[in-house]
Amino acid sequence: MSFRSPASIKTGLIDRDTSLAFSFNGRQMTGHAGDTLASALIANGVKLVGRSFKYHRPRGIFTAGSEEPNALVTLRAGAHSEPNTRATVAELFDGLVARSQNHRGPLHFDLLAVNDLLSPFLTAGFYYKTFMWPKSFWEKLYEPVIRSAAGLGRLSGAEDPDSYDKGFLHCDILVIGAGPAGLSAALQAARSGARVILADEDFLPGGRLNAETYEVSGMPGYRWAAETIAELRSMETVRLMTRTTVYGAYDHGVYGALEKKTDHLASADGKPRQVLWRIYSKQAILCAGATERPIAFANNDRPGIMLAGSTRTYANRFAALAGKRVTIFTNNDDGWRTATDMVDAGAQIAAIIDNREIAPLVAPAGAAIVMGGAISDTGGRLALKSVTLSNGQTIETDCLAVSGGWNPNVHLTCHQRGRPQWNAAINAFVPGGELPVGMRVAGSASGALTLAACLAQGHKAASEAAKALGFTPSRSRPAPASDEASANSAFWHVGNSKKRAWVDLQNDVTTKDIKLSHREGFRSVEHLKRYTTMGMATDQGKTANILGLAIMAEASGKSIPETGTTIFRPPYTPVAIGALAGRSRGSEFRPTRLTTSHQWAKEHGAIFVEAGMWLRAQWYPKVGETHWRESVDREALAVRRSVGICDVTTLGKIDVQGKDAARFLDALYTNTFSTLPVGKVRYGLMLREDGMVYDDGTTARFGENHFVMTTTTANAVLVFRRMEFARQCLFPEMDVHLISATEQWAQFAVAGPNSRKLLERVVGREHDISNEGFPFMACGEVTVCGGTRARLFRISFSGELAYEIAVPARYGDALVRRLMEAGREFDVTPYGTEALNVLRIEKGHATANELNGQTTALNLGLEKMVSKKKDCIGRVMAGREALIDDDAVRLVGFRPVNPQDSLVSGAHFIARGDAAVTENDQGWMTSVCYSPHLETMIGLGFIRRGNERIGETVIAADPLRGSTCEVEIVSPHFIDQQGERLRG
Amino acid sequence: MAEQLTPVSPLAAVSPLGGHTSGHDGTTLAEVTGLALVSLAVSAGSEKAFAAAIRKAWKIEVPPPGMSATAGDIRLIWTAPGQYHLLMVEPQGDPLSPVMKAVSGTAWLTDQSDSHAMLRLQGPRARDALERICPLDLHPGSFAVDAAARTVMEHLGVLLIREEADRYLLLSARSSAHSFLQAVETSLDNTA
Repeated sequence: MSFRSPASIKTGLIDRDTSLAFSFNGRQMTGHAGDTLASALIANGVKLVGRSFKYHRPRGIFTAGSEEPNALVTLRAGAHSEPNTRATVAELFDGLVARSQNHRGPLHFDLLAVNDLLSPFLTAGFYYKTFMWPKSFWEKLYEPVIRSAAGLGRLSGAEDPDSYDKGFLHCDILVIGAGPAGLSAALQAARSGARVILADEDFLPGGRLNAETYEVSGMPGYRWAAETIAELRSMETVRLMTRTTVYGAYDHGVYGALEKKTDHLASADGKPRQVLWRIYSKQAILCAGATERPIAFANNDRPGIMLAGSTRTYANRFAALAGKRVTIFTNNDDGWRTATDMVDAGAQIAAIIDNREIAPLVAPAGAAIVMGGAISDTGGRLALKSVTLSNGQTIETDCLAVSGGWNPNVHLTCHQRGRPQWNAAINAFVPGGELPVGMRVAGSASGALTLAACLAQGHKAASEAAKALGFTPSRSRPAPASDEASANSAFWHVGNSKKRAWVDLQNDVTTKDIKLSHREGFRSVEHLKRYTTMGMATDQGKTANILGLAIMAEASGKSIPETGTTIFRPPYTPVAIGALAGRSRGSEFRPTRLTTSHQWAKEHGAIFVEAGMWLRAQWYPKVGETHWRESVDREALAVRRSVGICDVTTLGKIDVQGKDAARFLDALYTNTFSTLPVGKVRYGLMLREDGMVYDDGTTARFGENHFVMTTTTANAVLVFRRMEFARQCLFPEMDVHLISATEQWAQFAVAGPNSRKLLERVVGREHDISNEGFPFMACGEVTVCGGTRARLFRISFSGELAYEIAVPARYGDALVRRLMEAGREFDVTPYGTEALNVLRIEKGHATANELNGQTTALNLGLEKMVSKKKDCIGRVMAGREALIDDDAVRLVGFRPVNPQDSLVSGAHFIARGDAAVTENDQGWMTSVCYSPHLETMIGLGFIRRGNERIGETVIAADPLRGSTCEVEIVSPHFIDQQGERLRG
Repeated sequence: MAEQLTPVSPLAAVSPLGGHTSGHDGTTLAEVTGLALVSLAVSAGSEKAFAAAIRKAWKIEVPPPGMSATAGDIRLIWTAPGQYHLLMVEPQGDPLSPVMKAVSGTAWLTDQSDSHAMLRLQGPRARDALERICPLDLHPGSFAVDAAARTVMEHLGVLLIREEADRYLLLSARSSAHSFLQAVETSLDNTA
């Protein structure tokens, strides 16, 4: 049986020439372009669309908008399936597949409906009170069972195959909502010359103008809306965004908005399904409209019971009849309008029941009028069949349109903790207190619930906003219209029934639950919400909250404003996690930084490791090597035997210039740089303000006023930021300038006894790099390969004779290939970060493991580097008593007493014979490796008075991972303690 | 005295994006090579002398914050208080030499020619694509031709310059050039 009004009596705003096939629970049906899934289901006579959360009660479509609590369906199939979609906002497309949720067996015979029989036990707090013991059962048994019985839809469990995007928009005036107030505001703002964004969650802008039958400017409201939209579209300064929900109001005029791009199409065709926009506005006008609220009465949740305004929306906009014999239950004038509209669309009115005593308007002929009446019960298991009045009269009906008045959609006004205020004239909360910066509210959202007022308010708010931004408001007038009858009364629920009356349809919260919660001592509305779950889940109580508050207020003998509301938080409507993630998924989660030798390293089979955003070669396995240690041992031995090459581009390089550059570095570093001769490099140590070591690195002096600093890879950005802070805030009088040169230079370490011989083959002959001409810690500008500008540093991290050579990044790839070619004679070996680490542990150099923010120069054995002749950041605090205690931990080396034993970093040192407990802790192991040179594992670590205890044996205990072994305290320099190699 | 010409380097130069170009129905994205970039930090107290030197060398005024100034083949970009970047056709040899001569000791220079990948985005769809990654307002009223700003796109620092009404030059770090290219390409695809 069709519930679509014939075009002859109601055209509706649908395209009857375009039929769309869709299915619901396997039943094939057709709708039209312009339908929502809900309107198409109603037109096809479908009443039952789902089961309730807890009691598995049969439920039907309750609203016509984003506030829908009942009609949650799963759209699409497989990995594309999207649970908990509100059928009322799902735009119909050809081939749409929808399924109902939360039932076992078919929808009309849900086995879990047995819960409804158990309802006397399943009241608020039931789970908390019942499933108390044994404690372990909650996670293992109770919760899984309850979760599977109660709830909403299910995710497919497959990876989301859709893509999402984000974006940034800017405007002078953001208008939120394209109903009468929003259209009026956007038009006036645009005509005044402002850049306007008009966002509306619907695919057809117009709001209630499309749902009602009022006239604006002498034409039907929907036509005025269409004409206004057309004018706005023609203006270059206006961006009209349909299918876009502004879901959050953030700081300083920033709004979050979700635009549905392809949800209304059968396939996204590779394009992002949704775009999450960040909108920067100078002014915003909230025209979010109002949401109709229900009245609570016994069995008020049957399919066929719907908000009155929604029955009008379906009848007027979609030409779809929610029922053929409609009963109206109202506490305000809107109910009466419903009667007229439903009759015009071809329905019959069974009765109008108004709790008030005097009829405000004329009812259509044939409708029974019951003034001062109320509904005490309803009948019909899977669809409404009848209603029973308080006077005992029973009326046969297939649709009950309920109107309890309207609540302004104040949500976005409260996103910065604003509290709405009670307006007794409309019995509702309206925006109040402090609004988000730059926000104005117009139309129903502000409590102006009639048409002419909406148009006028939108116009006025736009003029004010335009003026605030320095525009001259256009002299145009708001579109003329009349104000409809809108008297209302405070009537929330029909009391004194033993049967259940629903307050929150989505969470199955009844008037009894609210009263019970009050009896059990929950006085704050926030507690009421948590205890009963009222106002949770996808609809966030848009239709329920005020009813719950009213009942709670009644129970506590307070007024509604005294009771207050729960806080409103973003998002206004649900936002998919995928949309929040945007493109940040999988390998695109973060950008990747590649060194200039990356391609070459890839060709040579390198295994890469992530170091921050960098990918660095970790080791280069050779054919036949089956374990990473084989490769690393070979690389480390090759460096000590002949020569190796390692890409060290990732280390931070900061160009420091200016007349005060040297003085500036003296202030930053613990040691002195003003005494460093040009052409020399010095190792430097930086402290935090609190005296802990911040970072280390070498700084080279290329000129009187020009230094090049290196930082660790991890701290490159942090050190630069800190130096900028020092430059701008601590030493603004200094002439010193910083710029990162990390990306400018490709830099390679060339290390090993043959490194000089190798370099002599590429460095221009005019440059003397002999030990005398270019000694340890020398630096200079050279040319390589017949003319390429390069920088050469004689520094060593491995303890060997070593250099670092840098060329402009464009030549990095060519240089590494050339070095490998030139070094063939010496069996040059590329080495990765693992071998680099082995070499530095063997030499006893500290890295991030040791400079972990908890260690001082003294701890590191570098106390002599803290100059006493000058000040530097952190110097005073480094002198704190506890930090210079004789008992302080010192960096030393560790070797297992039994060379076969494994060492682990993170192990703690205790004296032999002591228990492995915190009280006996003497320090910890920071770095370990297998030393192919010493053929045993070795480690670096901090231990109390370590420098005085060389030769002592202690226990390295790691109870967490169950390993304990005896270790000997040794010098941290496992090789070449005198440093002859690097000076050779 | 004539400058000594640097011999041709036998080391082959590689551009960060291998000369990438792509077309998107009338909008193009192309790597720009052959430009040198030098940072200039004005020496404390030399602001006036610096401005005079710039005027003398290139017949342009030092640009105010958020802007660049262009004349012929060069573009001087404001990048921070007291800091500018000069974009010019790559000279033979060290790009610092000609700039050093021009500013004659009023600014400290650093070669940044190899620090960035440079992409030029040109065409009617350029702004729509940038809307997906660029937080700046590119409306001509806020970001006119010759405007320049440093910003962040997809976690990457970018120096954005509006060369013409629908032509943008984007500079982003060399090491992450491929991620940046992908970010711009994806934006073009997503807005097609």
